[in-house]
Amino acid sequence: MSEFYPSIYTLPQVHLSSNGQPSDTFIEQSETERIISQLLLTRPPPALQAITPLEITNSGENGEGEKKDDTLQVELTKLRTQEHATFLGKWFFSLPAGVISLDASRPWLMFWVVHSLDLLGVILPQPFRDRSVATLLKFLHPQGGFGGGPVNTHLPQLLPTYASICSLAIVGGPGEDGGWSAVAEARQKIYEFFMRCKQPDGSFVVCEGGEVDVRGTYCLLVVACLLDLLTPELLHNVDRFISSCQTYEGGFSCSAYPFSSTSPSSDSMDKSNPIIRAPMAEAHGGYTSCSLNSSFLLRSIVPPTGAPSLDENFPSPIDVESAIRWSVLMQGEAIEAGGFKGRSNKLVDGCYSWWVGGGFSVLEELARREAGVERSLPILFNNVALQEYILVAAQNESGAGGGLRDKPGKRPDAYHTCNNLSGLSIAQHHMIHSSTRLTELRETFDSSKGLPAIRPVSSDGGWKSEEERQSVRREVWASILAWDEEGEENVVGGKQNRVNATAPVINILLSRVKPFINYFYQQE
Amino acid sequence: MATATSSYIPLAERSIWSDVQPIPQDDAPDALVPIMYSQEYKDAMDYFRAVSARKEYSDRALELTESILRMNASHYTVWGYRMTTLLVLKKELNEELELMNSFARENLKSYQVWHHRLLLLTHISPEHPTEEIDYIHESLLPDAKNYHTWAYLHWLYSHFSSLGRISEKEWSEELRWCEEMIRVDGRNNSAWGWRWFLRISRPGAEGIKDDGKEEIEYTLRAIHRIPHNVSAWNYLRGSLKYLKKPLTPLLPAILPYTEREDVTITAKEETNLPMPSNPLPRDTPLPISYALEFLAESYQEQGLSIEAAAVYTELSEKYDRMRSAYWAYRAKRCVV
Repeated sequence: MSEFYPSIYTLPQVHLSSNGQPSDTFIEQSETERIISQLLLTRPPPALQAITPLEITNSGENGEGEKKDDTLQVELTKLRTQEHATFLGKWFFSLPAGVISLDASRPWLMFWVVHSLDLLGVILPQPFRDRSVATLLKFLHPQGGFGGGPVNTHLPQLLPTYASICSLAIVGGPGEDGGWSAVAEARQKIYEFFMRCKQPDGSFVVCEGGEVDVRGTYCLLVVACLLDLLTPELLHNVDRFISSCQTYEGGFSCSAYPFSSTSPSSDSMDKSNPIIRAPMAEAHGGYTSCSLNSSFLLRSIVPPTGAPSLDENFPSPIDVESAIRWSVLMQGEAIEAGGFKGRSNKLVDGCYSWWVGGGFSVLEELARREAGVERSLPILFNNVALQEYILVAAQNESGAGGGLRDKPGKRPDAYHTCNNLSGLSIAQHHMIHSSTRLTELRETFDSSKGLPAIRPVSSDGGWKSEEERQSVRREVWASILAWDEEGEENVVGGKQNRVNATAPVINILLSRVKPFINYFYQQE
Repeated sequence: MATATSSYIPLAERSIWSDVQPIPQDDAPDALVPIMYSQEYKDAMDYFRAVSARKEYSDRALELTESILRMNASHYTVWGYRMTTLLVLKKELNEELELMNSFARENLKSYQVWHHRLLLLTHISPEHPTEEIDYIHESLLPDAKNYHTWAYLHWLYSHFSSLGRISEKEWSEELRWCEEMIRVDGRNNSAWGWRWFLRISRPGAEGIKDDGKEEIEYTLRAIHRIPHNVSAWNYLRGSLKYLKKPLTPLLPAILPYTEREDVTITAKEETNLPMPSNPLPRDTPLPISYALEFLAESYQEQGLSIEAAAVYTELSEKYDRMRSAYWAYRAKRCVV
């Protein structure tokens, strides 16, 4: 298999050709290639230059591989876990006034830190978990949703709501001070906040009076699925909005504009669709991640028996093959150390390790379903090269204070640390959506258990029958828990570089998803 | 910033605020991820909390929000409060727009600055958004790929064309501007995305009217100018797919980049296609993987699965090994 996932050290270092047209894009690209390729030359020092790819350890068969293990080489490609933990600790306990622009994103700061520590396998002592929970509960707004900081300062917003809920899944628990019961009590209010964000075209504003984009949709859907908040009125048109953000390149843009069908030039439009929607910018890694994950969640709602309360064609399709092609083309060349870009003709950046790299589990699963085959698809991106980018180019230099970054020359921060480590996890663990597990889970679901059903805002906004509501609950719960790891881990640089397995779509550890969603669906 | 702090007079010492009791931030005891606020920021926020708690929409509240947003342009709650205050006080919103020009320059990546601008334009609702368009064009000069700016430009044209306020002349001027952006940097993918909106996806777009002929020729010429440009290749593929047009008739214009002189073209050749320059631009190594992919898809279109698979396999094994697994997947897909 390894011939399909070549190391950057075995591939030729080919720069982008100028075609005699050295425009600004070309100049910036060349400069990035220069910086990264220098690093590739200097990383294995002269004596080691000629060697071989970074060692790949398959936890199963590594007899010969381990023997020619070179300590120096291992040192150079080592995941500097201790340094990163120290770096994250600084973000956890005290942030300089210079990061003031993140004052309305404190749930994100919390999420980046605790999820990164989780990935690294660093155990957070209980007193710090309690303090984290207490910190987050101050962000829970009495009118529903979480704000970017304490609620006497910040209005509820969809993005911090995702970050808070995911953080609580990581640091909290079912006990008295664990935060989950406070969230359970707030479910109806959170739902009502979501409905206040809802727009007729299926999009959501991120807060009252705020902007519309697919980040909001993604954050809302994750929370609504985890907390058992879904209703037909919440889901109405959401699928159409997401589908219409897909661009001609295959990736997704931030948003789509709904043109009224009464516009003077409506002759060319599809009569079955009441409005024409146009993507509002080019395809972008961050928005593609949000859109694909939203798309996957929407596809996890309809049980095999159908959901008559939802629109007939729900969920509206996306072009999976063109999304795969776009995502694959986002991977940089060997001269860029195989990291991901966020847009065509832009530069590689470690944050896309998750935004683009993290999309592949979903893409592979959607393509498998379209092909109508049982067996999971092979990994479609170069997961070895991505690990090399993260280890060699995105890690802060040894001894320089830890943390991961956009690219060499940039300062590390908590956001890039979290997204690089999440991408590293996806590259090491082949996550598949197991149809066997899905079937088993459906069977074990106990529909007599659950928190109070959500009361829809409009009189006809709910499920048409209790039976339908239960079948949707079961499907969502089972689908979220059906992610599983397939085959051997593929850890570049030796076993000590292993990070824990993150759940596709949601991006918290698989082991964190289960107790959390079980609490909110009252399952065992 | 250091100088500002040294000459800073706390709000409590200013008579204008003497009637207000500041409210501290209600953080948990020993809260984590705490930010070490500057005295100035903490002070302003303490008064903001007091002002917003009693829903005071006043001139001093406006000043306060401005000073906070100058320190933290991402404070969405403060932005929202500012907008409400402007509307309640019936302020001249064009003045606010001018203020935003200075904000945008310093905070190009802030979602909130752009959203505030969008709300202002919605409320001002000028008969013709000409000035705003000029401003956006200008602000793209130093930062030609700023995502927020491009998204805003899309919104601007979408919103005002929905109101019937974009004339045909304005559409064609915008297209000329877009083409100039692509002429200056043919690799600017944001500009290509804008072309897609102008020519294909907006209601009334002209690019689909002549069966896409003009789009295809424009894009082929762009490929011939910069043959390794992924933006132009993606645009070509995208247009053909959108228009449901076959790839094969374009092969004569693509084949030179595949370095396969042996391929015979069975399909009817399109006449007058823009052809690659002869010689090719300097520093244009062949083959180009996008051209090989195009050839493979053309084979598939013609039902030549084995030939298509062979090209994908070459991409997998030789020409684009970074994406080896993907090309192998494509090869497999066309034979099963």
